[in-house]
Amino acid sequence: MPEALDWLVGPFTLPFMQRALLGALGVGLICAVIGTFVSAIAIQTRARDLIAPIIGLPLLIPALIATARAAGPLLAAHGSGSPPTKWIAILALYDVVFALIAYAVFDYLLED
Amino acid sequence: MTTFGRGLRTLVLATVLTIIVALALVFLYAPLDADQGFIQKIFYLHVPLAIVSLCGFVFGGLLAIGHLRTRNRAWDMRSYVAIHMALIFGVGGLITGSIWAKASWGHWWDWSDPTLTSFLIVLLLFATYQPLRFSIEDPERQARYASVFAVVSAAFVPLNFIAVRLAQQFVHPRILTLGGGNLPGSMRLTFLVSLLGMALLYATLWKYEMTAKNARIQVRRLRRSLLGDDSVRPLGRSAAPS
Amino acid sequence: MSALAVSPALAPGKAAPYVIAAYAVFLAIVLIYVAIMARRLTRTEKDVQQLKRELDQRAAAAEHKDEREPVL
Repeated sequence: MPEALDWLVGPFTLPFMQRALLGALGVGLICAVIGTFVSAIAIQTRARDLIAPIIGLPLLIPALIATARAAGPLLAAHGSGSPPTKWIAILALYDVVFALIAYAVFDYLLED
Repeated sequence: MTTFGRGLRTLVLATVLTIIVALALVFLYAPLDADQGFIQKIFYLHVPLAIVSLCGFVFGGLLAIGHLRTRNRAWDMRSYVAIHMALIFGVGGLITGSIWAKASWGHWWDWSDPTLTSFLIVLLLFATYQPLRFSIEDPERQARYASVFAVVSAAFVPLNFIAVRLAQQFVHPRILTLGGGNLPGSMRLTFLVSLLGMALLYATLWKYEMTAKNARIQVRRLRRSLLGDDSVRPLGRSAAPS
Repeated sequence: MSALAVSPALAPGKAAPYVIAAYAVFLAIVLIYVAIMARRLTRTEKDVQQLKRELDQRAAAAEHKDEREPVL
């Protein structure tokens, strides 16, 4: 069914859709990494519901800013554009660095 | 157990001398700024506070790496003191920055300035270090989790800084750039001496705090061995109700 | 750099309170820290004195006990 595939894949032949997909992947990845990291810390504390978002929000804010700036041109009312490469790159850099760091320290959290 | 107080006297002397020289340079030598006039003198106080605070957070993270690798709790205490000091310096930087903002821009805070907001975010992140620490009761686990948090947060500081530099607002005075900055020579000298004085002050206070903590631990240990286990009140920092 | 006449900023007279306030904040932080440390040190010193007294008492008691032992 090539037409059905066209419906699914068609949009992603456009460059702005590809970048938007990259942005969505980036923000999804960073939320997963930071969420897991913060939860692993928070379950061992007494105020576990409180600690998790308190620690998580500052760590997420640069990713939030980068995603918002990247999505900005897509949602502009007049003359919308493509997500800027700069913010996609910042998001990707943040993802990579944080994933590596979280991977490096995670053993120490799960020692028992 | 190492003796912490060894170089303390020379460090204090060096700090006092440098701070006196820095103050003299700020008020007697550095020229008045063309745009801001006398108000610009706060720059020599505010920027060193902010820089030393951020470096202190990174220093705390490095010490925490030492703890994770060697399992020696002395490193964890060093990291704790470093982060605590850096937080105090950061609050001082924030307050002096607000005073400077009020004097030169007319309002105490500006949410559209990314430098201000990112510094606030870093401070708020490290402000959660102590509540996190003291809500974990088991001492060994407390030290380990605090070190992990310190490492990740210390990695966050330069990332945050880079992200801010890539943003394109120029409201915050961009005095220090990678190209050496656009300060005239006399101002640069004054700034460097102020920065050195602030860094020495941080080092002195850190060493001082470590020495005091160490002394207290030794005394408690002696007391426990001499007077028995129940003569020593537990340090009681955890959230446990007792 | 005689820019005083040209600068649109606050004149030194009106600017001085802000500069003084900023440096005073810094001084206050350092002084408060010194005060906290002084209190902590006096407490540690009191503990050390108490330990010393206890040690002396035990040494005196041990001597006293030794004196009562018959010398054989």
